[in-house]
Amino acid sequence: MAFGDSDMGVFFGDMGVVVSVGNDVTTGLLDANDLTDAQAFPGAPVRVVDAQTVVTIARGSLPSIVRDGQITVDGTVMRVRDMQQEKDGSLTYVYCVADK
Amino acid sequence: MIELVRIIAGTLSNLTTLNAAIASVALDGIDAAPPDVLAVLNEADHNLTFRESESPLAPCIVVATKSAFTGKTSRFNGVQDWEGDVIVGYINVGAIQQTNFRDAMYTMRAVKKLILDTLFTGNGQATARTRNNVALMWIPSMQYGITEQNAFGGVMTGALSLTCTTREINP
Repeated sequence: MAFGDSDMGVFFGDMGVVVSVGNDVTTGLLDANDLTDAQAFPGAPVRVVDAQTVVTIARGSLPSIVRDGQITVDGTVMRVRDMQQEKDGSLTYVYCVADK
Repeated sequence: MIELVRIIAGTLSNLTTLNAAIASVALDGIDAAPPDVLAVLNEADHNLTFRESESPLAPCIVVATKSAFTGKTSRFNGVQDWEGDVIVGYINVGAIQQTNFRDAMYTMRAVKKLILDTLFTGNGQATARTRNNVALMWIPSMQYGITEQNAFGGVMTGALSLTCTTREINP
């Protein structure tokens, strides 16, 4: 049996965290990693390490999401830097940054 | 060149003076003033790793060499001249990219003015430009406003890159 969009809910349900924008609520897969920004000061001994937060959600599950808008990820209020369609378009990667 | 890093960092190390300079920068009316700088770090005295996840001091200024200093092997009349690049970097954390850009650009303008005012305006700055028999002679060129913000993080960096000519006395 082929793996399809309808099966994604199993992953979100098992490993997902609550993600919300306004009154829209869904579950998403949270990845939080440190990411060295090699372009920050090329040639200089200054190391800049970003906190990369990416939430994977089903496309369209947060209709009111906008860039620079607030998003709550697993209880933490963040800002949406960008969104990107992935795979066959059934998933959306939401790039988030701390709301400072 | 350690002396140069400390000379330039020294011009910015008084945070009251630095933040007053930042507050005095002319802004477009729709823009808010950039936040106060909280720390000035340099390659000779500090670990220059800035990790967003550790809630570091931000915004901060970093001063570091960007290139090796080059000079002629021969010494002439008891001096040896060197040329190389030093960066004065601005690092801040913020959620909104365009706000970060504005803060970086305005702050770097104030930093540039403060460095030039402290080291090159009027008379009597020769002492401020000299350390351990190494003198900053002049800054023949600079690059202002190199900015970078990773799409996946909240850290904005801006840089003022200074090409410096130094003179080592009794090398």
